[in-house]
Parts: sequence; C-alpha cells; structure tokens
Amino acid sequence: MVERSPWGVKLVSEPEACQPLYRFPGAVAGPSAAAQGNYLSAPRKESLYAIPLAAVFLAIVIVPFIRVVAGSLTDGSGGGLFLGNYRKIFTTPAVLRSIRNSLSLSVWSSLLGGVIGFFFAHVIAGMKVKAQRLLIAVNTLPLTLSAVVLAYGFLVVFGESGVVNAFLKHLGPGSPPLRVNILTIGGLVFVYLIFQVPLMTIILLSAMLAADPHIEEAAMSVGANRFRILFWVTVPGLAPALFGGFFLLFINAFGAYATAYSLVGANMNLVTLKIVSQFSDVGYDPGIANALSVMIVVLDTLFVVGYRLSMERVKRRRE
Amino acid sequence: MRGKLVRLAANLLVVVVVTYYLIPILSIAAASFTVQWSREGLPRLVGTSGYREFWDTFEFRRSLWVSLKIAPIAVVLTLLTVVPAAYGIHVSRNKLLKSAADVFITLPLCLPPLILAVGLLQSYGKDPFTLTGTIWIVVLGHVVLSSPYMYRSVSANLQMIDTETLVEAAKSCGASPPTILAKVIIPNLGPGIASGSLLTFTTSFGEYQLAKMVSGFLNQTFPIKIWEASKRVTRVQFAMSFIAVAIAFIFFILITFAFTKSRIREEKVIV
Repeated sequence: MVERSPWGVKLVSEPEACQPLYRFPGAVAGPSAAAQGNYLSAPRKESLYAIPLAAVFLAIVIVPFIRVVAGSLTDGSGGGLFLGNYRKIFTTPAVLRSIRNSLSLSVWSSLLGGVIGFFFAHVIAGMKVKAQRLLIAVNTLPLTLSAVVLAYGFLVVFGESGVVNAFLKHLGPGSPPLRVNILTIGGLVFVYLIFQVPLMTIILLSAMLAADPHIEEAAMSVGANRFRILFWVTVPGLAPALFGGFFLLFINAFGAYATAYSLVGANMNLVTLKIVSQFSDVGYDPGIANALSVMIVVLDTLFVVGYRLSMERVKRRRE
Repeated sequence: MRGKLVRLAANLLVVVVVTYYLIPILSIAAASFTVQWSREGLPRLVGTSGYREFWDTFEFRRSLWVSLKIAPIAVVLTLLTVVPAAYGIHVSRNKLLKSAADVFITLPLCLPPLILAVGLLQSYGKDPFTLTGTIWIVVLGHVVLSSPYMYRSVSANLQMIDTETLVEAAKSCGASPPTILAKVIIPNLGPGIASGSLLTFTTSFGEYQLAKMVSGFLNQTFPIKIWEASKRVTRVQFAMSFIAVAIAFIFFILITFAFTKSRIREEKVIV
C-alpha cells in the first residue's frame, strides 16, 4: 500500500502487502521462518565485520600502490610510453650497482642469519624447558627494538671512532693500522644479523619442537652418529622451514633502509636508499622511485609466495 | 670426549649469540651516561648531561610525546578494525572470504614500509586529501603494518574458544550480532587482544621507515628525532636511544609475560 504524505511517498506495511507471491509448499509462516531467514543470512552478515579493515587497506595499501604503478609509467623524465623509467633503471650503472648491492646484502645476511639461526635453534631445542623458555624470550628482545637504536648501538662499538677501533689504535700504531669498518656491505651484513638471526631461530625452533623425535631415535638405534643424524635426518626434515625462513629473511632485508640510513646516510648505494634520495630536493625524480618500488614489490611478492608455500608444507607436516 | 666437545661448542654458540644481541643495548646504556671517552675507547667521565640536553630541548621532548601519542592511537584503531574482521572471518563459512583475508594479511610483507610510504606520499600529499604531515597518515600506516600481528594473535585466540556454542547461546537469549561480538566474544579474547596490542605498540613506537617519509616537521616521531640528534656534536642521541630501549624493554617484558600466560604460540604471531 502506498500512502501520500507531505514528505513524499511512503510505504505502509500491511499484512497483505508483505505476503510473498509464491510460497514453497513445505515452508512455515510466522516467526520461525523469520528466524530461519536470519540463520541463512548470518554468514553474509558476519563478513560485513571485515569492512572497516578492508577500507583501511584499500585507502592505505591498494590506492597508494596503484598510484605507484601508474607513476612508474607516467611520472618524471622517463615517463610516457615504452616503459622509459624501467629502461632507465636497467641502463643506469649507478642504479644497477645499487640493485646488485641490495641483492648481495640480502642474500648474505639471510644465508648467514639462516645458518646461525639453525644452529642456535638446534641448541635451544635440545635444552631443558626452563633454559629453553629463557632463551626464546631473549631471542625476541632484538625484534622489539627500533632499527635506528640498534644501529647506534653498533656504531658505539664498531664505528669509525668506536670502542674497537680506539682499542686497536691504542694497541699499536702499525703502518697499515688495523681497523674495522661497519660502513661497508660486509659491516651491514653483520649489523643486519641482529634482525635475521632471531627471526630464523623463531621459525626453525617451532618446526624443530614440532618434529617427531622418534625419527632421530630410529636413526640413532641403527648406529648413525650425531653429525650424520644432523645432516641426513634433521636438516632434510626441516627443509621447508629452512626455505621458508630464507625467503622471509630475504624480504625482511631487501626492503629495509633504516639501519643503513642511520649508519651512513644516503651514501651507501642500496635500492631503498636510491628511492629515498629520489624524494629529496636535489635529485627529485619520482618516476625512477616508483619504478624501483614496483620492482621491489614484484621481487618481494615472488619471495612471499615461496615463503607461504614452504610454510604450508611445514604446517602439513605438523599435522 | 667428542660429546663434551659438542656440548662446549653448543654453549659457546649460545654465549656468542646472546652477547651479540646484548652488544647494542649495553653499549647504548654505557654511551648514554658517558660524557668523555678515554683514548682506549672506554668511558672516562660519567654524567647525565645527555639526558639533561634531551629534556631541555623542546623538539626532542615533543617527538617523544608524538610517538607516545601515535602508538596508543594506532593500537586502538588496529583493535577497532582487526578484531571484528578476525571474528567475522572466523565464523564465516565463506571460503572466498577466508582466502581473501589470507592474502590481505600477507600483503604488508610484499610492500615494505618504504614502498607504502612512497605511495602514501604521492596519493595523500596534494590538496583534496592532504594527510601527509599529520599524525593520522603515520597512525594509519602503523595500523596496516601491525594488523597481521593483531590478526594472527586474535585468530589464534578465537581458535582456542568455542565460538559456535557461545554464539548459539547468546542468540537463543535474543542478543543481536553486534551485542554478541561486544559482550560475548570480546570478553573471551583478552589474551589475544593483549598480546596483539603490545606488539602493535612496540611496532609503532620503534617504526622509522614509514614515519620518516610521511610525517611532517611538526609530527616527527621519536626514532626520527634520534636520527637527527646524531647530527649534533653532543651525544644526546645515545640518551634518547636509551630512553627508547627502556620503553621497548618494558614492552618486551609485558609481551613475554602475555604470551607465557595466554598459551598463544608466540612464533605463530610473529612470523
């Protein structure tokens, strides 16, 4: 029924007006049907709870990333057709060198972090519960600290005028003076280990503690020694976790710039620092920054897929 | 003999790794109280002038205040967005929604904070939606960066409670869906919410890479100011670093405590 009111047309609910045109033969009228309808629509309603989070992701992740992709194609000196910005990346020697530096920094810090993390987790896994708990807690300590703060901590000890260098100078004025320099790729690898080792330890420890101890016992009962068990039983069993951990560590290192920036400013030639410097007043070229950003995201996404697939296998083994 | 050697190597490894973890923390503690260094590179004159300089410099104090404002707001916003989402996805039987949530939660891994900032800088730097330079752009960035931690710790908690029975019972008493979430589900999620909030706070408080790019001069966060302080001749940056370490350490203790109490597996939330 329709009623005209000063505010316009208004629907008036009347019993006949609400009757459906056709009713299923078995359907029951009345409140129970309403309740059933409520039940059927429940899952759809509950997915509405995800809308605020989805909105935040849309505004803060999706829209800006689309802007970055669009900017990589149109902005700056290399804008326009034919992927000028991308061509520029792969033909400018300084940019190529920065990609190579970032890759070697990430690969080396992930490999070293992986190896140290593996042995550290292996030792923790063999401990008694109390010591285990303490070390697991200590292992998360570096992850709660700011990258800038950790960088200055290392600078005090290993920096140019740090404790170690002052001590080496004090020892003897040899003609090629012994010095340590953390402002190199090798030094950065050393500093990056403070994020890489704890992460790898966490991943591997959970896989180790979930592994079936009977397999190692079986190997021992047929006379295999400790090292053989380690390399022929433990490591292959942990292969998915090792790969997954490596991928995660790589992502972690490749996109980071805080540590390097705090240690050397924008002087170190890394991809991330190249991006940062594109937004300074001197070398403003957002086209290049956007193209480099897209490149990082593509590479990271490949590694994230690898990480997820490996961790799926870890999970399946656990079950 | 050989077993002893292996045990010795194992103990040595633990000592080396733990020492390595403690080097930056202890050296900052020492440096922050050092006024003058000896030629051998050891503290010679001890004092608190670094801390006094921090306290006397308005912009340094302001940056600590900005960070202590951004982090709790980020926690609240993360809770408001992630907790309902985690619950909705947990009870939903829609497979598509579940896999979409999976992708969303891994998304921050594919986009490092720097790339997020590069996008934000260009999307919200111009007039209709100018957000760069306000604390809100930093807050929202931190919400995205910490949402995976919150999501994983809340959904780990959801798996430990029997949501189906709770929802049925509440429904049969006539509660509406929002009431169910607020009065039945959330009171059962204490441990997950606590550990997720603590992780969000530490992530936000220490975050530098996104904030550095998008926060304006007036809203520079504490880590940014630590970086700027290091350009001074004085050693005020170590005093500020140690303040940051001390705050992070309090949260580290709380996080450890929250995880051991709650039976939620820490590694499942962090990685």
